[in-house]
Amino acid sequence: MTFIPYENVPLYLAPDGANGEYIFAESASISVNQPLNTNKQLNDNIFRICAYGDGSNLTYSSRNFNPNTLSKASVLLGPVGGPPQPLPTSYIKIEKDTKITFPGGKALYFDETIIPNGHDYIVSVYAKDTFNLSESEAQNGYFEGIYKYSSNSPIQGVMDVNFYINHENLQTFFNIPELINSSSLSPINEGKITGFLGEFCFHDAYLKSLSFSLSPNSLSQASASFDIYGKLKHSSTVNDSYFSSSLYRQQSIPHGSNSQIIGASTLGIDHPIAFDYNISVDRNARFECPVDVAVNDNSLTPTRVTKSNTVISMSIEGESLDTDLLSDGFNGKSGHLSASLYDLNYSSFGDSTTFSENNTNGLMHTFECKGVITNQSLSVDAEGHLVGSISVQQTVN
Amino acid sequence: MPTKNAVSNYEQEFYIDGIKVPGVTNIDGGYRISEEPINIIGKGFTYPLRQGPLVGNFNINKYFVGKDIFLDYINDNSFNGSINYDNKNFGFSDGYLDQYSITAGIGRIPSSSVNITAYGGIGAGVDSSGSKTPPALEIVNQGSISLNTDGYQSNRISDFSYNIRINRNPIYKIGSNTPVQVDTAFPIVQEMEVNMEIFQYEIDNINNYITSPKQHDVALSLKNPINNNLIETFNIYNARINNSSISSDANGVLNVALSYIGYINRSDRFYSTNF
Repeated sequence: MTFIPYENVPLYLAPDGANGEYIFAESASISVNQPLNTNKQLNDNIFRICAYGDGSNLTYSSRNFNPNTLSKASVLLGPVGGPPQPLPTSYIKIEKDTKITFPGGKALYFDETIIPNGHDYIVSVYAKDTFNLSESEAQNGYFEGIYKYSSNSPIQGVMDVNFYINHENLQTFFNIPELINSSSLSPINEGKITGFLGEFCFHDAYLKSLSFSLSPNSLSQASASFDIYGKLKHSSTVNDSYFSSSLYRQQSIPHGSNSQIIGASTLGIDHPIAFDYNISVDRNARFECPVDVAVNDNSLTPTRVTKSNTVISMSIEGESLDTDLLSDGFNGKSGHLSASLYDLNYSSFGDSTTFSENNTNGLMHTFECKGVITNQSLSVDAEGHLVGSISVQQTVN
Repeated sequence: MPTKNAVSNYEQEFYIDGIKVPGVTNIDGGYRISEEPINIIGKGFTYPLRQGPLVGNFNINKYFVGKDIFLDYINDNSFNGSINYDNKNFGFSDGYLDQYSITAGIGRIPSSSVNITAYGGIGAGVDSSGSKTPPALEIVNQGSISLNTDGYQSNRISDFSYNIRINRNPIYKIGSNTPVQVDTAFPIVQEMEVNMEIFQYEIDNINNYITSPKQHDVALSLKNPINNNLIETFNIYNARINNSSISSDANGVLNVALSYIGYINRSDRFYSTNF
């Protein structure tokens, strides 16, 4: 496998069980994260010698180590006088030759690789130098094994996409289910998506957030983030016929030149110079224990991913802010903003047979936020202007 | 009869807000559309799309033959202009003066140059012609130009240049192709370079700057040599010398070049009637 140029790495998304679409995206990334913790216990690293020998005698006798004559020894672990204690099971392995450090620069080494099982009371060690190990020194050995790790939450992937909003991809893939297309509001459909990025297929992806910005005279790019709970597989059989413009239905891109912000004037801003939109939702995955003995693939995939705590927020920058906010009480001042995304609204575009562009749609979509003002700010810096900022937030379900 | 296939210089006129500008020697103007290629994963380049405002630039060179109407626009006011030829025009609207320069030397008519940025329409169909009366023609010569400052009254100035730079800060809003406001970004920078054949002048040691940098007012006056009528004065208040050099060659006299720089703040402009 070689490095694949970006032109050959399409992003294809499809609603579960339906046909999909190649996404007009500038960048996409998939990452998988498995949160793991070690099972540390107190005094894991402490190596205490109770006695030498096979454990028949729990009395410690000072011992001389000599690499030529008396290098190896079997030691019974634990405090002097007992009771004996095994090697900690928080380690998955203690490798041969692992160093055990004692006070005074003295050191012993494990003579064999040990996989602790809770019954390792006696271990074999050896010395590389000549020294005498007193009783007090033998209680203060220190070593480092290789810890065991175990998961504390499901394996989960994240896909981030920077893309250009269009009619179809917005409704189908980047719709925190049914909120953007409110005409088909349904609490049931939780919006599972499948697709592939290049030759890497993924399943059970759920939209987590969508955001975009508007600036004067600039094209508008959106970003979306998905949680992925399903499998991620490499498949070289993904059809490569995507290297064709006809597969990309998108021919318009929203632009700040024609887009409109409605409702800003009532908040004190007549000239919006920047706008941000964000909608996010919490996803709650429900996993079910396997009915048979072992964990299998099915138990690693959630049976349902619900959504909760959907929050829409908009912020706008302009020449002022709403000065009434502080005098309007403590229950929040309502704010209603809407952003209508337009493309450049060309009346015609030359030879349409050679370009996939037309940008003649005009209005592409309208986003709304009916909530309360949550934040306002004023700022100015040298060589700039006084700029006000207002944020409105709406909580849904 | 031969076919007319070019527009001669004497068939072109340049207008600013209805005033025909005299003494113009050269104009170049145009616009540049800033587009960004849309490259997408899985395909590559799709098409370019505009990324940035539509802005035009005009550069005008002219003789200084009387009060210069461009100097009326060293403020926040915009103006329109157009080149008119053969019943056609190429013009701009919402133009702002970015830079004005004047140079003069012994034996030649002073010349000025102007840089304009236009934030409104640019191209055919913007006609600024009119019949307003232009300023009277008054041609200065080397004897009617004076530079007043400390230090070299007895030295001979051979040539000079004056330049004023006004940075503009347009503010665009979402949903509009033209700025809602175009502000002057202060300070306005004034620069003057003077070359003179020296007799008594002595350049300061650079180390003096460490303990006592000097600043003084510089005034450049241009008068009508016939009636001694003052045409224009360019003042730099609190000007500081930021460049000094001395040169000599086997066939000439000792020359000194001095560069001054000064700054105009927003509040200064309201108290000063000229720059």
